Amino acid sequence: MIMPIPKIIQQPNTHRAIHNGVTTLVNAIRPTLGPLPRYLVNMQGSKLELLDDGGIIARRIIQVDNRQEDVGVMLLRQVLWQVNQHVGDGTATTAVIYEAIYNEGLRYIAAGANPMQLRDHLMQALQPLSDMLMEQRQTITDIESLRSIAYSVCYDQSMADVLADVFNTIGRYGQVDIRKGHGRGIEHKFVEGSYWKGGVQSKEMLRGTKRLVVESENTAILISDMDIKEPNELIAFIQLAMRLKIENLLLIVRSISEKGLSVVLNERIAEKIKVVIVKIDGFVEDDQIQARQDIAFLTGGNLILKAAGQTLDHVKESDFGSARWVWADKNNFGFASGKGDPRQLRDHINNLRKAYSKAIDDDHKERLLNRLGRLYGGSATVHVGGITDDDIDMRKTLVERTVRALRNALEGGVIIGGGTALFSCQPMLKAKAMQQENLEARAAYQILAKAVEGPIRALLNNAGCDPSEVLADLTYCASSDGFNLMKNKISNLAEDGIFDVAQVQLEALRRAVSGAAQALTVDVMILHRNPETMVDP
Amino acid sequence: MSNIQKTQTEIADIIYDIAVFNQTIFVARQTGLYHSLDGGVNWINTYHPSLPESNIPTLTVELSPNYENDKTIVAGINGGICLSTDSGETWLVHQFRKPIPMVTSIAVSPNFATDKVILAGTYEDGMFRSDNAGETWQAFNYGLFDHNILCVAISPFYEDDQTVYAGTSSGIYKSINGGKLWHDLTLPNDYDAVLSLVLSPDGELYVGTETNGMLKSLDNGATWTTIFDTDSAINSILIGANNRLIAQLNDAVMISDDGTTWTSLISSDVNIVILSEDQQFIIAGLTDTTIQQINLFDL
Repeated sequence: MIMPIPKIIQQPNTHRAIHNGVTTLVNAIRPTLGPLPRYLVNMQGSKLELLDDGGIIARRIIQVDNRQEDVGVMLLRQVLWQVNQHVGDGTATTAVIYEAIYNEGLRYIAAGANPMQLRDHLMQALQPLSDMLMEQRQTITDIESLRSIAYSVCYDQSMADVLADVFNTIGRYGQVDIRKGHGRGIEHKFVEGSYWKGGVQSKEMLRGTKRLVVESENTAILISDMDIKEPNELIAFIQLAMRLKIENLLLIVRSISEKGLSVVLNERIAEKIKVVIVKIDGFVEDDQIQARQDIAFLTGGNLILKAAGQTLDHVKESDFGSARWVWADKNNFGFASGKGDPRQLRDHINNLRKAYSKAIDDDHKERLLNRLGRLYGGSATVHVGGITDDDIDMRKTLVERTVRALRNALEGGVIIGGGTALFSCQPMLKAKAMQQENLEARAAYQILAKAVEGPIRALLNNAGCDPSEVLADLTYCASSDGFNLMKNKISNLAEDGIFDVAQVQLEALRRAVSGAAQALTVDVMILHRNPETMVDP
Repeated sequence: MSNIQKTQTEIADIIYDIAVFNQTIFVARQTGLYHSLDGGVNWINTYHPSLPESNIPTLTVELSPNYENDKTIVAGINGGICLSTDSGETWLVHQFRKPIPMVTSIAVSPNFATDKVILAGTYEDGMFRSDNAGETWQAFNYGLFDHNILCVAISPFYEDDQTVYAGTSSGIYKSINGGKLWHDLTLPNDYDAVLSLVLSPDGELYVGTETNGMLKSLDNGATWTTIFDTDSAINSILIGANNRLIAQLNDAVMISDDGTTWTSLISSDVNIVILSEDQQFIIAGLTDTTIQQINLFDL
């Protein structure tokens, strides 16, 4: 078989192609930035999709016609994907900073700068810029700031009001369940206690209950990982529970057979003790193990584990945990006011909080957050409505993005919004540039000084303002002053409640600088024929 | 002992709490809520005849900060609260959700006239909050890892800082959004039960613990100083005129001018002490079911 000959692209075509590709993608994303954004319509087959999120737009643009330019698109798309995955927002900001750095970088390379050295100096110059940005951080403690942050992401007042109330009540670790609603608006409710996926093991247990939810007060809880196959595995245990005068019992198992269920569903037994048997669902075994541990801390029960050679026959009175109120339906079970030792629970939560603050892996962080949310003793459910299914889906995605931004804001604080915080670093970068003797080091600071204008320029352009005029006026203003696009004038943005999430801005800046600096070092492209189409970067 | 006046009522049961406005004293007891309009000489069952059952065990009673005008009394009972807006002439019972909680402590917002916020701490079921003057109640236990609430205190600057503290069987919690979301504070001797809480008009926080005496924080609970080192449980703390501190222990009531030296004020077994509105008297409910008034200015 004859292998096709790959096409090799060299300078100046490489830079030109990447530049064009980056420009194509940034031009598609830039209009979505700011409080007065414009939408992008994506047409796939007969399906029309209205998009306002740079992250999703980047995912939809899988390939452009020109394969050489497609490399530029791919390079930027990968950076945007990483930002989206890590902080859930800030892709449009990343895109405009990336473009500014790449375009400015090309100018300096054309003037004789070494791309590799330029990359190193850009990465070094990133540090003082990040530090200065972080120095401007403010913590948020009140509902008004939460509302402002939410609005700066979703630009929907009712959504911002609801999500601000949610996070004001449940805090940074709180569990938020986002579901499709039936109406047109957005509604929320707070759910007391903790709950897990995995419902009752027999529909018989829901018979005669209101809304198909079985509820009980002052309930004993036994947490196990047993696979119960035979009735005799349960009989001694149920007899013990009856001897202990337990009236309500929640038994957590891994699985139970029909024969096993027949014991607790037996009418004579059910008259004396109400037993609800549930299992914990989880994609991986670790989730189930951790859920059992958390329930043990919350309820004060001991774990009964097969691996430790334990059986239900040998359960003791002290192995039972309990809670003031327990419920289960066919999909979930939960409880409120568990009777665990609050001192041990606090230690457990402190350990998880420490692990969460140190976690780097997004998936690990997400799992820890879910656990903390449950241990914090309550959750919020947000029902997102809309006019059509597509509208609901779009609004649900927007709620998810805003929830993530609010969590990041509570975790890492906020900075003055509208690109102002980044722009306020420009004098420092210009001063640093003047101090550099090395060509590439000076170029790096000058490139960043230009790049920090990128987001504010894009915001002003999108709002139909003249960036040059506004930027000139802003040069003489206080650091907290910026251009309020809704008022169409310069004002104190902190007083106006216009903020950006610090973590998002920092992540956007870091990824854009490192991605663009890397792209500047690309000299040759090898394009194979019939490349495999990638769906994800 | 001319400064001490002891009142023996006909009712001989446990005194849980006392509230006072001018000459009117309300006493929450095992057999209900009683009040005296003559400084403790004669006593009337406050629930009678408005409520069909007047012998409702009442664990706590609190008057609105604006009682003179709104005449609002909130009494904590098993399962909810009893609320009167006419000085006890008529009562409404507001039941909380099931399982039925035991209300152990109540705090009324200093800004109650406009924000209508009441907080009710319960034994086993955490904190309940109403923002419509007791009409409806919702449990707010986010971040509250101990649901045994023993005492609640609201910041004197609540209108601005929305700060509330809750003492539990394993430490102290703070909320900065009016009692919705709670943050665990660290005490020097971690996890000790916090039996009493009080905030001075300047915002200084005093905490009475079960085994580690009385602690003071000048920075909203971030750091603590022990100001009364005792093994005895400190069940109540009062701040009198000229910032005099009064601490109720199980078997005594002690007083201090500056928190460094403490002298005995009452040496009997006491259930509860409170301060009169003019801060001239302390009124103590003793375990022998009597009520004792002490004129602080005579001391």
